[in-house]
Amino acid sequence: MRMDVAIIGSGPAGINAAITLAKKQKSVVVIDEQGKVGGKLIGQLHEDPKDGWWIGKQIAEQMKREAEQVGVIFLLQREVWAIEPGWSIKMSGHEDITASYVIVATGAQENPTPVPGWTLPGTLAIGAAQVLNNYERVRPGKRIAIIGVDPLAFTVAQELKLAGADIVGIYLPPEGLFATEKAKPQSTIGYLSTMAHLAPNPWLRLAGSMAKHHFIQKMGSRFYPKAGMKVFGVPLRLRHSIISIEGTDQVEAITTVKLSSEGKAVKNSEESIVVDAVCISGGLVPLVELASSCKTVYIEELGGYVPLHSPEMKTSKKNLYVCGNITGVEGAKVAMEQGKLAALSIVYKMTGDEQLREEVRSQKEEVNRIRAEATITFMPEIMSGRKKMEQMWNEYVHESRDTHDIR
Amino acid sequence: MDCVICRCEEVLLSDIVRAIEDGYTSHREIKLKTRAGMGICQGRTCRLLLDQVIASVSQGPVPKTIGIAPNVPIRPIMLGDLAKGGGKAK
Repeated sequence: MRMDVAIIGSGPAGINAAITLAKKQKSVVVIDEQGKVGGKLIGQLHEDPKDGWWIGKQIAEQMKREAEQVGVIFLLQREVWAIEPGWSIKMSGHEDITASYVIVATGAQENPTPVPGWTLPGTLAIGAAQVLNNYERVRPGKRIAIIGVDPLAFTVAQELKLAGADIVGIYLPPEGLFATEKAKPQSTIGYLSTMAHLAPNPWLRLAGSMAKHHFIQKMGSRFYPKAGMKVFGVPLRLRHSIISIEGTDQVEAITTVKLSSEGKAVKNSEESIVVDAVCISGGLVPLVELASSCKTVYIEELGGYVPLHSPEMKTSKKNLYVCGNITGVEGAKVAMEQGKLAALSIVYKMTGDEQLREEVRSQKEEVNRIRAEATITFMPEIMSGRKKMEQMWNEYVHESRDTHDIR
Repeated sequence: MDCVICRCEEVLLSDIVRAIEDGYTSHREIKLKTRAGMGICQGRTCRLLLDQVIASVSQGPVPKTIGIAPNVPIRPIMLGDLAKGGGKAK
């Protein structure tokens, strides 16, 4: 099979890139390891204060229909294990695909915080619990504890509860090597307050409105009730952390410890709570493996290592583009606009059409506009992360020029 | 607090910390010493954790480039796929 463009990943970024390219009469194939189109969109379900309910499953189905109508080919349940310049796309058990351009839209992976006992069956990363619950319709457990306080933990807590699970609480992770600020009540309240303004989830609005200023943050952690606060029946325990997960062959209980307002463990405050599942939320990290032939840079504000890329989404490798969470952890709406931008950049490169240059320019603005309006910000410093990337790209272009290494 | 870091090779956090203290400070050195990242998933899970352990124990910043570079095949595959050598599948 020979195509103009091969896209790896059928999430919001990948599908929108495909639709845009197909509408411009380019032949496009989208490859995904899962059996359904949509990536992490499929599990998303929340109420947006501006736009009403965001039902990811329906959005994914709509986008898939639109894509197929304009001629996009989907190849599902195929794992890409290498992309070789040219581009030759290698997939497990299937024929290679050749394409003039590649868009790597592989999204992000979870980075659950290690906790003693976390390898016991019944412990899941929070995103895995979300997929199991919302997509496979299998409830991960009857009595569930959640470790980690962030937007995904809140959303999934609510979804698990809708599925009839008893959530014993959302707890802080144990303080240590893998969690420093995330394990402290005070900084967690501060973090929550950054997303109080337009949070799509009533949880976040409530938790966030607790503290917008440093003073209140301090008071917040001191006066935060030791028993936790119940929001929609789920206790948010900012003064407790889970120090271990117990069980012989599977999860049977968690051990918690009380925290002082400064986040220090209170002596002899250990308590064992019976649960049959534990979900760990430790944040998301861009999934860069397939783009590892590109120059990669570490930008903490974007979520970790990301492929160096231009504001138009091109990488250091000729004819290899990126979009979506592989470029930095953000919401689905931003990913979609990045997908369209990557697609337009490719069409401009292919045709040199002046009108396309204008479309690329205005789409870049659109990405920024949607980013500024985002209701959930996964990475609080995302804007400065994006600026750093642009600077690094400019430096790279300069250096390449100096060494005649220009592509 | 001890826990498993590399699930494939069952390497504990304490094994990695001890290796760093013994002078094995880079990803590669730690991998060769402890086998962390050498199992079937090739570090897909523990690579991120090793970054954090190294930065924390050595009290330095996270390295600018990825420690254990992901090699192809990036997913476990059948030997048959490799043997085809880019040829056509049936």
